[in-house]
Amino acid sequence: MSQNEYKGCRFPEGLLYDVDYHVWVRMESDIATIGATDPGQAYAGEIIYIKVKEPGTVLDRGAIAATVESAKYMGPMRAPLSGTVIEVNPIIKNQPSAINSDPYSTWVLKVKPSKPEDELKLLLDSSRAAERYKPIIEEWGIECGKQ
Amino acid sequence: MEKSSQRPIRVIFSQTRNPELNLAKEKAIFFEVESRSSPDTLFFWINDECLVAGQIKSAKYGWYNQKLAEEMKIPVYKRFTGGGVVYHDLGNLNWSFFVRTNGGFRSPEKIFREYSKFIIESLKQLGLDAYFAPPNRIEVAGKKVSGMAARSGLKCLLVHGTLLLNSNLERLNLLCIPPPESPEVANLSQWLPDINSEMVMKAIVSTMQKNGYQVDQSPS
Repeated sequence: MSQNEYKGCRFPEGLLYDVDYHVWVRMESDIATIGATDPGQAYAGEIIYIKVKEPGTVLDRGAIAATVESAKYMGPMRAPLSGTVIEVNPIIKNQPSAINSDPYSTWVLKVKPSKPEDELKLLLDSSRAAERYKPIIEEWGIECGKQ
Repeated sequence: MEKSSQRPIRVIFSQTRNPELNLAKEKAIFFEVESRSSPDTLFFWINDECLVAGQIKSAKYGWYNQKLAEEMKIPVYKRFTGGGVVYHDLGNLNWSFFVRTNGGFRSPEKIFREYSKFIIESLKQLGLDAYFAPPNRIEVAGKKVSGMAARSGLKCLLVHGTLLLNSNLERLNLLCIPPPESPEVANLSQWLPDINSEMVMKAIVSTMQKNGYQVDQSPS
């Protein structure tokens, strides 16, 4: 998969990105697969625990889709799309740090979007996401792949 | 430290030593600030002897000696934030900052460094050479005197910590299994024998005022 990159942080093509919420989305038919971006996981540090909203939960865009713990801090992972949670990745329950080692293969949850026409257009493609992330990566002082 | 230009902060001094009530109060304040029905808040609380655990058990955090805790009849409670297990008794002062935010995930170390500054500045005012030790500790002379944990929702960030004033370190060290490479713990009374919680709370409130906070104090 080709990708854009900055300071080791990758942004594979074929995905859409929410740079405010630090998540990526892959649309397949009418299902959105969602995970953490490379800079997002690098900034968080090693993920010790993640608790995701259960299947059946209805989320608005921006609502808490999961709570992530790293280094004694628990913080929100926010939903990029409104919709209903249909599946949670079983791997992350016992191996949450798989999100750090491979953020784009280790998805977190799948959602059936309820407002795709309105909300998908808020997300960015790979090259625009990489550009938007540059000043954020500088401000955070991170390099991906060095944890 | 950047001044906050008269940002209001409510300061609550818990009137109970009951851990269950104090932990419930802490959670309630979080949701009050999260729902914007309360301003920024600083909550001071002291518990009767107990152990307080984070949300999950991790080898990175250390844990506690469960068999010994049962034999010694030490109650164990769960708190709202991350991290491992801490020992509370009447010689430990807990402090909790609840701050209105715009949401989102933040760097853990930055959070702890930023909010520990208020505690560190206060301890320095009392003559203690305290400093921040990454990732989440306050130390004096290489010894841990405070550990911190945090949690954020969409609109509230909670950062809290312990502060060992004159805690029973013998029992603490028996019960708590420290994380790898954790320094020895110490009471602040080692350097300031007359230290007490009233003195420390007063110093922290004074620090908040010096940093431009408009303090509104109330008992709980």
